Amino acid sequence: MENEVEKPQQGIEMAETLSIPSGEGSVWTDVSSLIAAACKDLPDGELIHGGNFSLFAAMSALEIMDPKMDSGIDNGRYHSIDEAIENGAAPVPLSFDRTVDALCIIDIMDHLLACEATWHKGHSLAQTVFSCLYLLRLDRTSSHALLHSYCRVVHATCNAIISVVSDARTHEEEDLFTMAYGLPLGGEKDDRCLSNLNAVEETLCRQLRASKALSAKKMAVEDVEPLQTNFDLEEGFCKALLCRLRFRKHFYHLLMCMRRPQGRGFDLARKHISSCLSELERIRISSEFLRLVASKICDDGTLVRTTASGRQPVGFDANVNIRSSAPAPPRAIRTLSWKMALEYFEKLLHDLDIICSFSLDPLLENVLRFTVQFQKLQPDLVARAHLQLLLIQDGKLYGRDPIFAVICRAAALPEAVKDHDMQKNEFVVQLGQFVINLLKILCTNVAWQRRKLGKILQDWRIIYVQLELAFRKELGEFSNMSNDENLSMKMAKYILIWVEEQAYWIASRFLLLGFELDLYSSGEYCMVYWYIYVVLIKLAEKTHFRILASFDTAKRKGKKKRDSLMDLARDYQIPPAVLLLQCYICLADGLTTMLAALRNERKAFLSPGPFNTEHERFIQHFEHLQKACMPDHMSYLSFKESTAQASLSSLATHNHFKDAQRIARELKSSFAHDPDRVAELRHIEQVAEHNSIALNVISRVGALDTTLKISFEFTYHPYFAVAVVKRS
Amino acid sequence: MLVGVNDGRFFLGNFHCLDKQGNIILQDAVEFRSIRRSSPSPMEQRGLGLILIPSSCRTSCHIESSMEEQFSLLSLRQ
Repeated sequence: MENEVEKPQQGIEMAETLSIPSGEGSVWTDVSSLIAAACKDLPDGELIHGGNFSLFAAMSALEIMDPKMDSGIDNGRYHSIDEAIENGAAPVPLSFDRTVDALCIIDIMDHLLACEATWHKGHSLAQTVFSCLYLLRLDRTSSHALLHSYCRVVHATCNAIISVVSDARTHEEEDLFTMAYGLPLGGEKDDRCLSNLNAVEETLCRQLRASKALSAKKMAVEDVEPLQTNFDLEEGFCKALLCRLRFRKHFYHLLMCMRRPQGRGFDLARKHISSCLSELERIRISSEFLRLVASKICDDGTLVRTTASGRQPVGFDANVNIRSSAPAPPRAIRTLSWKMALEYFEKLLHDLDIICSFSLDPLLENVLRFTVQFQKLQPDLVARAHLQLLLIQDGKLYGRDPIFAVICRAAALPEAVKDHDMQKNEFVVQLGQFVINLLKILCTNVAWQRRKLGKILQDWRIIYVQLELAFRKELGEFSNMSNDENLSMKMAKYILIWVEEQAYWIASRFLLLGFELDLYSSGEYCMVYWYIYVVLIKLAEKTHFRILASFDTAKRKGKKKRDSLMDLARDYQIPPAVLLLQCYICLADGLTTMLAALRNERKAFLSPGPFNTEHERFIQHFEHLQKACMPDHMSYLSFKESTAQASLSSLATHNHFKDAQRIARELKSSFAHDPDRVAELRHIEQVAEHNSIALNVISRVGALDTTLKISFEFTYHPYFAVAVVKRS
Repeated sequence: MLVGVNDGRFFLGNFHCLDKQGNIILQDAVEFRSIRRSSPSPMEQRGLGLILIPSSCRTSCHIESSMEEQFSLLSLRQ
């Protein structure tokens, strides 16, 4: 019998197998022929499995060598950071020619800025900022002052921003943002970054002064070695570097100032914001000089978008980090261009400036209005995180006002009650939590926000019921007892009114945000405006109650108990806040009627489709509101009943748009001090006017003229459409 | 079980299943990869969990066994 000795495998593979240790006393045994034999023996459709096997679970296995699932595939590039560095991917200094070195540093600075902006926009740190080999091995750069100080300040800035966003937890679905995956982020290195930066800035200033003195043929007062060797370019380089370093310095200071609690650092922050914006402008101007230098020094041809000079930056490799993400490879991303990065930071600075200008209004309704206005700017993640941290700190508003006091003030109760024992009631405590939660939700991105607002509607409804029951149990029915119980009764009543008002406010935001997110098709506008109409009526009612209650409180404070009821009735005007809601109610009513009439008689704006009936769509859109009984006894049937009689001919008999126009015009004087509200009133007027005209046309000829084409556009207001009538 | 693939990596894990085509699924797999492209070089490892190694990229397959078992396997191939 021939003794066939198993031939050893290729030398390299065997050696590598041996470098992976097997257990004690055991060896690696080649089983490939055994496997091959087993496969040959297996009938079709069968497999061999070990213990605890489940075919369903096996489906989730990562497939090796599939580029979408396997992040470790050898792509012919560096296997590790150390290998990349050993092969000269991140030289220090970048060039022995000091002019080229300076240009390369600027390219790195620009590319890092672009990476940072890309990261802010929602990508992972590993693929963006930490694709920089210099940042991954910070200590290597210590011999090069400029590079080292810049890297340190970027490192410190990233830490500061991660800290803000993590604390606020606004990153919601952009959860890649805070993941550091074992990147060298530790904060211990950050302490001296500013002093480093100052030293480097000081040197650059002296170099700049020296170059200016030389060019003005003055005596050189500074005994300092020039930045680089080309005398003509010295001033340009110094200026380009100075503005970049100064931007970093002011940006870091800005972040530190904004972290101070209760907005104490805001005034200083605004100064830093202003400096940042000036330096950004200087950075932008420097690009011309840099492009010129780049074309003189090297004519590679290929222009890169992420640097001012257009040159490819040295020392970046997004691949070295690819394996330190989750097992599966990250999505391919595109770094923002340098221009877009500048624009991003400018917008961020403007948004932060608005936060810093906020007066820390103690009245909750003003806080809510500020947040809603701020969100209209579409602020990004970092700005929103800062807003949330300003609003909620240590469970208090601005870290200053306890939530119970905020609620009492919002419910128009006198200041004295804020220490009342009622705050210990478990449901009052829970209500406080809901308020904090609401403020946090209002700082998230619009899509997430709307989803959460829908979900909390039931919570607010339930807490109302629970509070009512609890108050009734504690205080009994509304009978007159001692002064103390009278006060508690009043607090209970006012707080309940406020809770209802707040719940309807949330409902109205939920409905209106649907327009912002483009969630409604034109066939659904009729039911949406109808629902907005019924919700706003309730909101106006509750707001009115609350304002009347506040008059009562004010009256008692002023001790004007002798005012007669007649005087009150004569002087009474509906409060402007309620009238504003009335405008929206008229608009919604008008649009509902118009859309219903068009649907009834021209069969336009129906909800077609074989999959969903109109009833099903109604439930899909308004499920949260229906579950929370907001409002009570309103259902699809109510909608059908109220719109069944709408007809084109009867449209003109009650022109709701004219009412809206009239009220809006009258309101202008009440809001004269508030430019946002004045602008809003103007938009309301425009919507009302155009719809009024369209309504007249439609009511006169709509039923007969089939060539009329009617569409609804959001030209004057993001939530209230305008009917556009054309002849086709 | 230690499976080698054609780009030089090795995967160490518990055998989970094998099909007729020769595809192997490993449980609690760890990936071994060289830090430098040139050999010899130290290896780094990371955990991947449940993985499927297609037979097309598999270059080797070893299991941990005692010396006796290895010897008896060799004689099996006569």
